[in-house]
Amino acid sequence: MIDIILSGCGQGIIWALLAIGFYIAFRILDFADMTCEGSMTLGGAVTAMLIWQGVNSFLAVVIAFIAGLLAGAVTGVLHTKLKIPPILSGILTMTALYSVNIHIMSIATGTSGTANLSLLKYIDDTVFAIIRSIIPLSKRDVTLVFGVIIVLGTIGLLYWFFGTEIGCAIRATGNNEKMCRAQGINTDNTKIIGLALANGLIAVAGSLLTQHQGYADVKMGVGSIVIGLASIIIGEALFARAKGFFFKLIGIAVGSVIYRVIVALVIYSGMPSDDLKLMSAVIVIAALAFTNYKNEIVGAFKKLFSRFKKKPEEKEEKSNE
Amino acid sequence: MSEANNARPMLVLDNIVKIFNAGTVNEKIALNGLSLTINDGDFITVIGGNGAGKSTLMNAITGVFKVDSGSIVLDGEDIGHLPEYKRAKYFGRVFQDPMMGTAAGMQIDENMALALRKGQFRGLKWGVSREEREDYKARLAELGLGLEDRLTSKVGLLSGGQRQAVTLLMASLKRPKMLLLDEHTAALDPKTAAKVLEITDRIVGENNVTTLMITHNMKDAIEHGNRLIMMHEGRVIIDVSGEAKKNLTVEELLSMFAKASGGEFTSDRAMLS
Amino acid sequence: MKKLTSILLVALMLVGIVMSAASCSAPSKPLPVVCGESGMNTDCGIATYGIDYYALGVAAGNMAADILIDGKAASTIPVGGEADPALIVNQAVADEIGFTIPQSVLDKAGSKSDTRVTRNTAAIVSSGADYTVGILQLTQHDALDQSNEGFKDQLSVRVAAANKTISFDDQNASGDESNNVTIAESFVAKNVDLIYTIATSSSQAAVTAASETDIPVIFNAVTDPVGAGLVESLTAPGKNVTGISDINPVEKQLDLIAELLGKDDVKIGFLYTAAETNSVYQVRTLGIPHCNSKGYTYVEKGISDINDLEAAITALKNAGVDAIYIPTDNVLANGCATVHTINTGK
Repeated sequence: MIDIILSGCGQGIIWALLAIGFYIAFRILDFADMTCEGSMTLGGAVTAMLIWQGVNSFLAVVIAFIAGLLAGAVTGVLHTKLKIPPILSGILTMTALYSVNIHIMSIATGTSGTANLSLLKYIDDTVFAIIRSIIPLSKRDVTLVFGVIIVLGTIGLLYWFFGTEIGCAIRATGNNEKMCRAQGINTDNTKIIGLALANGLIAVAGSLLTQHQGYADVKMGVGSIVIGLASIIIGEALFARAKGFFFKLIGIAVGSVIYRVIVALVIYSGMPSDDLKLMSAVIVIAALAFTNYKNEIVGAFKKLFSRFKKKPEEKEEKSNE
Repeated sequence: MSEANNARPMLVLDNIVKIFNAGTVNEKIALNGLSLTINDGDFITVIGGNGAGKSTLMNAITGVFKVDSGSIVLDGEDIGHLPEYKRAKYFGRVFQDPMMGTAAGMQIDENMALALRKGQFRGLKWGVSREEREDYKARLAELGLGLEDRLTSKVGLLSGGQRQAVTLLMASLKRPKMLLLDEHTAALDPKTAAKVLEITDRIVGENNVTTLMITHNMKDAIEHGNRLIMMHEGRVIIDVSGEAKKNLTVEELLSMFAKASGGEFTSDRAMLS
Repeated sequence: MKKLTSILLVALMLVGIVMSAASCSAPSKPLPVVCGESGMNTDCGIATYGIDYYALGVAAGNMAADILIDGKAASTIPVGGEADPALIVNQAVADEIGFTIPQSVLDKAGSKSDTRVTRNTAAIVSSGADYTVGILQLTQHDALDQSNEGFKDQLSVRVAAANKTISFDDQNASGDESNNVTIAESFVAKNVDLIYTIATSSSQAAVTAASETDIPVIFNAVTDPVGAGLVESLTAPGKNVTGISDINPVEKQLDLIAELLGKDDVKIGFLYTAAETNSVYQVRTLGIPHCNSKGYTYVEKGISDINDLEAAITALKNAGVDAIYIPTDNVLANGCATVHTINTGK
């Protein structure tokens, strides 16, 4: 059982990168970015294609990041320059990326229309395999360890970035756009930078996932928005008192891990897997309800406990009489 | 309050026309050939009934929209074609809604740091430096609202009056060419409004910044500033300055309006305050 | 200015309506259709060589039994497939479109004998079994379900014959790739004796998850196992992985078209979903080279979703194809009734 929890953690920590990227767009920029499904697959497709071509897998991750930056920038331009509403901009980029991803994967195989790229032949070239050749770790542990390092490093970098002048300007844009324009901030640029950064991180998540699961598939982004949202909501529910940007991001990473572990436990326990999506919805609803009705729920628990406390006190009173 | 420097015009508006929804049944001529010369150091109070065009005038100056005709020349430079964010560095603006001038989710010092960098390139340098913080503390202390101890509080936690005070500070931080105040005390209770106006006077006086202040309160309009203009149907119909302005009473102002516009002053707010 | 643009728009719309009406007015003759999969064929095709997914499942069940009970190594078992597809004729559709099927074809036709195997439920237990098998199916889909049923039926029979018991951990990823990985890893964590996967990405996830264990993987419903990186070659898998390919006999089906129309230089219209690797494989890697070698001419029409069907079929008819060929395709699997409606112009 420990194995299954740790394997869920490993997956969860990679998805944490996606959740953090989504958080930048969704909470910091106040932009519901649907590009996620496309840019995650983009990261995976680019990485798989590059590994097929013999490019070093670490470099492939960096290039995947850049590809994600471009995808996010496209969404940003669609919204700021063409005045397309936020959700629609994301959906348009995501739709376009479906074809782009197929073209990218086709470069590797030479057959047009490739929608699935297997890394099984190159399993020794992935970042995880390379790390394992240096440090003796099991397959499951290397994902967890490497994932934790990357996520912590990313959170540290983001903490620094959003404290810089341009980072503050991006945060302010999500907070009060009119005021920013009055302060001479080019909100078009800040939005584009913010979205680019968000999707860059999401693409890295896709890249690492592809290397972990051994293949890239044009459909691998489907459902990722729900996973990202669920991670954010669970993280915010549990870390509501977290003060400071750093701890908020940690909370999201933890939320992502918890979500994946719950899913893994559900599967392990033998629940009919047709109900998996229903379970996901229930988890998110529970987290949201907890966030919104925290006081009532905690109050109800307190009442329960106080009843147990009263009983021994009453006994004391009776014995005193 | 220093005397206006008559030799140097700061903002010259020449025959500004702005029509909304032209050609439809909702057509509104918001600015109707408005001309106005504002001199460096002027502190002008602007009054007028609803729909007179006061806020529209400010929006035209700052570039929220482009005017249909007429020129806007700021300190010798024609700014009529510039987009809003490019004109932003010349102006400091405070709005009626205390929520609008600051980013509620960010700290006081972060907000002020944003204002300090107006017009500058924002790069990867750290957002708020230690020296800055000391400077902000000193400025906030001058306000007398106790905000100097709350530099790291989120602005959203402040009261309306406190937020307007911070917005005022932010607007004047980089000594803008003009300070534009759009009924900035209208949403505050009388006591806080008086305090904010007192702060306004001090900031304008200390920085000697050209100021345009829209107010619905005729008494405030008379008591503050060196020049008073009244707008009606998109034009300036009354322009009083110096001694004549100081000695005005509200009744005199009302009769001047009736003569100039041929009708009763229709704003209840102005009447009752 | 505004008035001018609105007049122009209305004029353009009228032109468009007239044009589409004109193209619809000429009643186009329905074309004979041959589909790659028999289920698809029932709705819109006149005849085909069919793959029985249930039979594929049974074959996979036999493979699993060979590995578990007889101790064979997966790497020694060559990848299987539909060896002797049945020729299925759809007389109803043929009559509807007014097509006469040549007698030579009718003589060869005959539905395959019933391949149903009765499951031995006594051998299946929920705990304490001699063998545990984890089943990972990509999504709920009739063909995939059939290969699941066939597998469980046949394996239970073989296990019972060996006086053993078996338990199945039957999981469905519900189309979510992330679930593929989680389910595969849970099988590895539970140390099952064998993993049975249905569909390409599920198979890839399982092979990666089990790669450093000695858990054998049997895949099914994978059209191109070599291209998917699951095995090194169809005859010698090379790893502890083997399985069944559901590649339909494309060449036989194309030859069937030539036979149905009674000419050696048929013009075939390929109708498929451009983004599906399996379909592209069937058309470009198998179909077109076969056409070239046999002297058939062809026209390709790839669609991106069901909404493009009308335009694609009309284009094929205008190109003068003799018949339409639809490979085994996930999107078109659900759209064959629509194909038929458009083809017959109802």
